[in-house]
Amino acid sequence: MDKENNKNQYEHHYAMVIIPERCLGCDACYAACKYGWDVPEGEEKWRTKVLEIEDSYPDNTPKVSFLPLLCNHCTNAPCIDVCPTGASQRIVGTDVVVVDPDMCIGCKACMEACPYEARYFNEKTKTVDKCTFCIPRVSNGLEPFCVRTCVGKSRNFGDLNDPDSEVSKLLKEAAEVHVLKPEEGTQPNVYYITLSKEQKVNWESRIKQ
Amino acid sequence: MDKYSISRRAFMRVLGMGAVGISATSGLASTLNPLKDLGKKKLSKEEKFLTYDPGKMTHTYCEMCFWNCGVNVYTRNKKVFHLEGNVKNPNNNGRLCAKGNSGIGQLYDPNRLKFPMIRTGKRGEGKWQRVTWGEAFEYINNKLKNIIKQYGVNAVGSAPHCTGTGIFRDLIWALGSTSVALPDWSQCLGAREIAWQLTYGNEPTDHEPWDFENSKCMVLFGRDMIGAIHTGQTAAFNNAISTGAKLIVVDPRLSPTAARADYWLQIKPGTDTALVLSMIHILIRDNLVNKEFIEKYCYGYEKLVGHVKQYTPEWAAKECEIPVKTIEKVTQEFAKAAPHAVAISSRRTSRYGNDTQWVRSIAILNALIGNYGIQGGIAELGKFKLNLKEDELKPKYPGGERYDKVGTRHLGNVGFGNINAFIEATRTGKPYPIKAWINWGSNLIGGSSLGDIKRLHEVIENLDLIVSIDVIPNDMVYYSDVVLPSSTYLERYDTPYTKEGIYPFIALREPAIDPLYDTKDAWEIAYNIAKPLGIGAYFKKSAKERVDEILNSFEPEQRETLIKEGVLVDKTHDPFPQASGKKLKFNTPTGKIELYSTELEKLEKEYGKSHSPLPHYTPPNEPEEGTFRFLIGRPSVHSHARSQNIEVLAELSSSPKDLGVWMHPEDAEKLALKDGDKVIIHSVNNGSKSKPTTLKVTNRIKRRNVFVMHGFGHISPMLKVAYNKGVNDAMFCNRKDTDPITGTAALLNSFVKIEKA
Repeated sequence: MDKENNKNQYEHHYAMVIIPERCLGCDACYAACKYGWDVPEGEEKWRTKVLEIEDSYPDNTPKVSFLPLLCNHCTNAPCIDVCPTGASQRIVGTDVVVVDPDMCIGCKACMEACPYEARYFNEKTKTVDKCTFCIPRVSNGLEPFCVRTCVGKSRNFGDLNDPDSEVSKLLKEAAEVHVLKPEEGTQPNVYYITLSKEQKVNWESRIKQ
Repeated sequence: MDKYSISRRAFMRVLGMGAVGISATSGLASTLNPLKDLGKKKLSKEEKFLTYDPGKMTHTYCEMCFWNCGVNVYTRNKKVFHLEGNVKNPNNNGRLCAKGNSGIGQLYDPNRLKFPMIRTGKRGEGKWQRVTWGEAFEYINNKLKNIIKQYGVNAVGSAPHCTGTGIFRDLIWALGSTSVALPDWSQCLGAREIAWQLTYGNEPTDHEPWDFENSKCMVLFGRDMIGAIHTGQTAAFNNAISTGAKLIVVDPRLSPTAARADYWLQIKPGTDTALVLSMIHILIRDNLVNKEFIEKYCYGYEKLVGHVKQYTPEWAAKECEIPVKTIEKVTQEFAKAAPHAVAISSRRTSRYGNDTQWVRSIAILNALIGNYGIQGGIAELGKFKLNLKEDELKPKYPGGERYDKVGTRHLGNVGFGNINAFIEATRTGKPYPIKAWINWGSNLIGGSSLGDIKRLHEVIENLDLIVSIDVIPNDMVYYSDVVLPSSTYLERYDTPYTKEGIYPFIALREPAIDPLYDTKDAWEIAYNIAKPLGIGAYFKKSAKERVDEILNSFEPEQRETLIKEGVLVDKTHDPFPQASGKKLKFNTPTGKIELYSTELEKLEKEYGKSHSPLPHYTPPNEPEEGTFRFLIGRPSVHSHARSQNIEVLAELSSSPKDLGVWMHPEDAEKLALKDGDKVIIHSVNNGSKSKPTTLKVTNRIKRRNVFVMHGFGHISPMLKVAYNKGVNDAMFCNRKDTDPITGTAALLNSFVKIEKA
């Protein structure tokens, strides 16, 4: 992923920058989102969740790591391409992908198309739903629910068009920047970064203020 | 809804909150949540995606665990839709964990207790009659009067848990009874408190003095900072390890915390004291101790030097099954970071029956590097002081005969008591009969005090009255005679929370909505039980009376800040007196940190080696061939045995990791078991056996041990989500062994067999 390649094609280029090594796997994000957006019951119905990955080192010592997941609000979004009604769409002026429940016919084509399995079917409304980057909150000056509650301060949200935003700085200074399934060519706007040693300390002093 | 009578206008003026709530476009929303780079430009898209009604905001403190984080509660049309951490509250600095967010799930739990009930069938049959509050109080009163007449006041007891504890202890004491037992002391951190008391003259208390935020090296003996999450503390810990602090975790299981460690020491359970003593040996051997601090502030160093000569790392390596070079290396790391380093025990120290001596050794390890009152080490705790006269009517401890040995054979606190002894006294009628339990918020069945069903029946058979006051129909409620529904913390006032901690503060709890059902707060319930017994004068008629009394004790300016922000921090407290160059004081008999305990020296003469003034090592019992030690821990999404019915949290704990039993691959192979098999756990200690449960085969657990998450396996069918889900670990915990110094439980001296279902 070329981290310099954030073209100003949006008036607001919102992005989530996740520092996986800071994720505690505490699932506060899952709970805050479920209540805040009244996401239906059931563990398969989520707008964000944290994957717990159990693995072993070569010497057979076990290891555990965590990977927060949510809609990637792809710049090249397959869900928008396959939607027959235009319900899956982008909020004008932003990269934020939403589903308009008044237009959705519940065909689930988008659920099939999404390489990140980030969508669920709402049985009550008979429509597909997903993470909105909390655009109703964000456009009113509030952080997304998951970012606001994140105990590990693993999640960061902001506008990449603003070079002074925390997310811009994090991406610029990061030791490594990753996106999920880059081979899909979706150009996700959710980034997973490894902090440089120097940045760790600088960033910490910034967040303490 | 009734607001604070004295300050309602000020409250609304300051926050700009009327019935319509905060306007979505007002500047206030962004002041509450400053996000400089967002929301400058108005976006043009259909309103449905771009409007947000933040609702009306009220303040409370969280009741999902004892940490009591600051919470801003957001409601729309009298419905709570969002809980958010209060950024001004030092307990959590604006964040909330999954449990904290799930206060909403508890509030709207369809299985909640909605009205008072009296049992009509047999205990545990689940047959109830709805009654009025008046009828319930009358029933309780008649029973209590008869019990007191026949058996005396000590026959009335209580085992309360969390906020409300003080009120129900007052109720029992006002009656003149000594029969109070707090499950969270002798089942949990009692031995730790006493060990630090003996050594430093003060206790770590609920909110603990470890300054993780500034620490350069943390040594955690059995502590899981993530599984047992306390938001502000876990965040501080995360800040430290994410910015280069060294983390050493000693745990037979790879907990999520151990997974973050620089050094994970997969110790043999019960041998921690050997490891700590060898670390002390290395510090002294290599001259890594803080001589100046020891000379100035410690008592008995020379005796310690002689004592630990025997505890070589080579010896400890064999006992603990940890390589010598690892023990050497982690001790070097600890010393290198000194004094900005800290070593701590697990919070729950009810483990192997040698727990006070173990925690004493850890307290000494800290003393040797002189980390007291220094950033990154052990802070000095401060208590938020109210400018309020002590309530003259507050019931005093009545004294007299006790059901336990606290204050005689055991070190402890008469206000906390001993839950195991409380239950045993109820079971046997000795030293005196306990015939009535008035419990608040405690699930003694799932919460590891009562355990197996056979014992449960032996205990409750002797009770003439079981009153449970709770929010949900937990297991203890299910076996009760009278059920009194409490309002949840989002529907009630409560005594403002005055914190003792690194940053002392006071926080408010006000209701966000009116009670959804026919429920009452703790004060009102206690008052109504007390009044007909002639002790009503001791109690406020409602929590709000006490809230107003406390608010009135503040100067207007402070009061306004407290009401506006929900919290007021005492910024005058200095948690780091050594760093500020102040002379340190310790509340021990010698006025110093007692490496050699003068208190234990006296007790040793009476009780022998178990009370040795310098910590000694007692090897743990070994599991017999074919059996496993039964270990327990916490998932980060649940509190004790009381949150498992919340749907969202149940979704987060549905895998065998949480609901099953963990076993090492080599052990599984020997038993011809594989991952995902259904197995039955048999207790060697008490004959209990589990329902079929899923086996999780993983190298995250040490050989010859099995592991289960605490708090599941509920037996109350009234909990529709949690009923029968997972393993009730309390069934398998040891209940006979205790720590000889404190009488606290040795829950992990328990062994089980695993068989294919």
